[in-house]
Amino acid sequence: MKQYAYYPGCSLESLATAYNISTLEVAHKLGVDLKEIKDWNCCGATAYFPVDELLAHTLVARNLALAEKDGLSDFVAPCSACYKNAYFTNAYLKKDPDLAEHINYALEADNLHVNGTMKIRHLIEVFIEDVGLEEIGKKITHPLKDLRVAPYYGCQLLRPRKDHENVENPQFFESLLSALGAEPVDYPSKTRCCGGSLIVTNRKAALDMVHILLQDAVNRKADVIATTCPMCNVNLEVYQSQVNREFGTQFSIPVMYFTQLMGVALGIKPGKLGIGKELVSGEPVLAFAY
Amino acid sequence: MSIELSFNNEIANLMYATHGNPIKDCLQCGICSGTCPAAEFMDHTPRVIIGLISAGYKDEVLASNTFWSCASCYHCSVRCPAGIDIADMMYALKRYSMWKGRHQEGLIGPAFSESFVKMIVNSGRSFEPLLAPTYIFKNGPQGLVQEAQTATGLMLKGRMPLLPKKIKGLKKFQNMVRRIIPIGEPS
Amino acid sequence: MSERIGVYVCHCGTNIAGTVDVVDVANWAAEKLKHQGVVIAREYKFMCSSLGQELIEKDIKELGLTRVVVAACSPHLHEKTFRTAAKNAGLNPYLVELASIREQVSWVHTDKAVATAKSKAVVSGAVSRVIENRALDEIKVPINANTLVVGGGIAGIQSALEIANAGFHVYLVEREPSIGGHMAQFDKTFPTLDCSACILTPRMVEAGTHPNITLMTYSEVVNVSGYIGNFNVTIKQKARCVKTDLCTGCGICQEKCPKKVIDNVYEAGLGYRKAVYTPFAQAVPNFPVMDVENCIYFKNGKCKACEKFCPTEAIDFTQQDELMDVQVGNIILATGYDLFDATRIPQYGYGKLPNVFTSLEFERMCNAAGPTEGKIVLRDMKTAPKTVVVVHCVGSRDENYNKYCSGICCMQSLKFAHLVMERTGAEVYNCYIDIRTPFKDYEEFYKRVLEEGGHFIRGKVAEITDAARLPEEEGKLIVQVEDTLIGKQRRIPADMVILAAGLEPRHDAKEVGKLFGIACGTSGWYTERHPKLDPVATMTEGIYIVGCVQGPKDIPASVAQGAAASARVLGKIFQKEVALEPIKASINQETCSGCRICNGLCPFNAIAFIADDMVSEINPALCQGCGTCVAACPAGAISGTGFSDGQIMAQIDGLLFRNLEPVEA
Repeated sequence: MKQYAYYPGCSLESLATAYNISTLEVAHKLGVDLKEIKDWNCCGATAYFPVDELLAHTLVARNLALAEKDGLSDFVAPCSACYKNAYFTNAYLKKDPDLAEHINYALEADNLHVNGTMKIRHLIEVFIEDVGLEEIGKKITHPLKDLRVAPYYGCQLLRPRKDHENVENPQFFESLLSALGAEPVDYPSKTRCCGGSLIVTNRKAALDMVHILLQDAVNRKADVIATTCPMCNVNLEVYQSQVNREFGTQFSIPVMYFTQLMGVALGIKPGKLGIGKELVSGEPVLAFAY
Repeated sequence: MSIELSFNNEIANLMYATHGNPIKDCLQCGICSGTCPAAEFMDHTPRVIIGLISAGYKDEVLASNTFWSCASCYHCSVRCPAGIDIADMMYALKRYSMWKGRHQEGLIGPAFSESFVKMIVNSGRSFEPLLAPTYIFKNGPQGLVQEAQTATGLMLKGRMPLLPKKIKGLKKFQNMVRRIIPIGEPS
Repeated sequence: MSERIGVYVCHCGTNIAGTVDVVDVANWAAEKLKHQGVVIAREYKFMCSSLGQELIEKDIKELGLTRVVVAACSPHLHEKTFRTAAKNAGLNPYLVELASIREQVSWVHTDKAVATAKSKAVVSGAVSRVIENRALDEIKVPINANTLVVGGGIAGIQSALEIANAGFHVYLVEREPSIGGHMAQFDKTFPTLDCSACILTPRMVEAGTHPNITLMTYSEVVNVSGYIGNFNVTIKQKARCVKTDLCTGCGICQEKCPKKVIDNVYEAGLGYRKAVYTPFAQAVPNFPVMDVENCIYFKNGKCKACEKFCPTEAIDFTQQDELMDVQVGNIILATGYDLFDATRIPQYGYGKLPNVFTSLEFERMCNAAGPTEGKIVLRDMKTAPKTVVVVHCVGSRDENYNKYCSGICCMQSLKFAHLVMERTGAEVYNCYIDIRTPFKDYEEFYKRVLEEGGHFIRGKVAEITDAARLPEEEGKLIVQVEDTLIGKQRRIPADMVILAAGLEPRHDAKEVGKLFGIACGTSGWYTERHPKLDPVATMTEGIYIVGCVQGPKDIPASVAQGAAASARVLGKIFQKEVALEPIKASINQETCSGCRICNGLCPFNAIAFIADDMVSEINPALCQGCGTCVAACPAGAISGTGFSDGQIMAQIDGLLFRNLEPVEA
């Protein structure tokens, strides 16, 4: 069985524990062996680049170096921000020997060296491409029949990579949801930003962005919004009540991680998927499966 | 004899990994600002900022809140017909602003980033409660109450970290950091 | 006896002299190459000028020069000039060699010392080589007075008519069932707002009935061989399944055909045609064709309604494609453009949001004979729009799609704005980056649209969506754009959006180019001989490019190019023969072992094997002097006149300064 270097990221240990446990459960069920990188550090998210570029890349490079040391080929991140950072730092290391030299000089102090040989994957890619929709389909025991899911891709899963098909209107998340037996909803805002760290640094802007996403999902009659990133999930879910207060709306739409939906469809017990940890209850989703 | 760098060049120099950015190729078409989900919260749209940089209006640029309102969604970069990575430029402006210590008053971003950096250097991992002081008081008394409510809710669901984590190889990690920037106490 | 060589070094203003010390090079040649036969070395500001040429002619006559070396620009530009000068003075033109010290030296180096030293080497090489040159005579071949025009759009039709009216025969080949091209799809043409069909159809009819034009529609060129004056072209005439000698063009077959097909070609996907059809009412020729892929009979053997109802028994299901060979002296390519595929920009919603239209779809809508009979309505075919947004630069001026500007879309968009306001009274917004209205009466047209109340928003549209956020946006298409002139992001609720999609080369342009032996540029348009001074000729003698195939342009420019190429062709026809360069390969039959390796290598099929003598022979008329066989022959039996081994080895010696007299110790 192929082993993947698993990089949970800081939020999966706190705000997004549900994502972490559902990921591990689903990976286990589908035969994806995720080996957590030992002693990984924070990737810096979007807060490091405003201060120092080289240091930001170095933080990410340390994790890549740790994964390379383990002799594994694929680096898997469930968080889109961690994924984007890893992807680009890795790409720059490969094509810029100058940058690589600089970073490796720093890594030397930690007895590490990075070569840029890892293949960087987002968790959802691994399930769709490596396991395959057909295989997943075979293992479904509780199809999410008639569940209308808004597939929220978010930003950094898709951008700034331009090399993959259809950055503006991807369909792979919809395909996954269909394989789970659910009904993916046509969601025009699916690649629109949730605000990310603006929820902290410019709350007004972020709440406006979240409001637009929630309103669009509700307009499209979605039962639940599925996310692929802990930041997106937190913004859409944890701050839903604040959006209601700010805009006078009454949103109460569950926001679940795609791995939680996968887990339910695969017949894993909700408690093991972190369902119940939401501030906007995810329980209604279960009714569609059980 | 020192050569006075144009503001354009100063910003280009702050983009190491992407080897500068062809800001001078900007057509001023406006697709970045038409796309930006945060544009209405910025005092200057991204396109205007590029125009100001090209024209050398450094003070105006540093006094604006545009780049501190950028969420790094990269939608502008992907759509730009001149191939400019605008979001990357926004990061460069943030770095310039932090370096020179010049930014609009009342912004949360600079203090938040600074705290974040310090936190990582001290522990290797992020710990939300440490960052809270940089922003919880900035949204007025109502904001503070809402924040407290949210935090309580998260705590009850076991989603709020109560103790900061530290990575095991912290000392070596800090040595690594110091080879880039000499911050933190020498060990 | 040694040759008497004249060396001329050109300054080319500062183009060469700015980087190369031309005086030094001339002096060096006079001194160091004297022993090889250099009797005079001059430098002059512009060798290609008449005064410059006179210098050469004078020296040939007065100093009895037997060889000439001109160190100047690339032979591509002025080799002919200097050869003609030599000829005028009585020296065989092939005893002149060009040494390129501009493109090969001054344009690629910045270090003066290095450039000057390199120039000396280049001149030295040319001098050593020219000594080995032999006098050659041009080969004259007759020109076939027939011409092939490929593509029956306005540019092709123009070319064909000009040549036909001058009294010479033209084969006009068109891929579609009718000539007319894209112009036949339009409603009104800018800036005059002439009805497109009204100005085009008379020309189409003239071309269709002209005694000197053989019209071959529903046909394609499948093979081209030969050279200028003597091309052999194989044309495939696709099976129409209609006997054209019996068909009267009455149209009953179309009427009775039960199978409707979406017309993606002429109607741009907006309307339907039948399986047996003529593309439009004024089609020339007016014979229908059968779309065998969609015909019910060809699918499952049923129907045959057309055959039943045809009054003249003109339907023939057994008809096959036919191949025909024609001999022509010149070929004009006028195959036009394809529209940019707007589905490549998903955020504009084309293909997903029903009321987003492309420019060609909208042209069909405006056309009185189109699917809506000229009414401007939404996709439901009945509701008139109240707000229309025209989006400029769709797929153009964009690193992500096409880098170039498509030239005609600004005027086209202004035309659309005018037509919408005139026919519906709707509010129209043009979202643009720049308004490009450079030609005659274009700027005035822009002013007219402004005066008529068109709204203009300077901003490249970010996205078009149906996700409403405010009540007034419900049920509308929202165009999100930054109004850059006021610095605000705006959301314009519209009923209809028209995308001014860019022009692209035909999607098989590369393959077609290969067929004719011409090249495409980086953007895919065919490459002209000189971008400024020779826009209709190509690097291949006898092949011309006219209209949009050379780059996006409007109708007047296409017509002008069509006429320009025909003037060129007529010039060649009147000369009755063309002189071919004598730079050819020839086989020494005594050394040839008959291995035939060269036979298959020749890209121009110029080498034949003479079985009786067991040797190969090169046809000098077909040979283009590429040198492939010369290099490949294992016996070294093939040499190139003008490119002999002796010449090349001498040139190498000269470049390496092996020809200089040893310095006395």
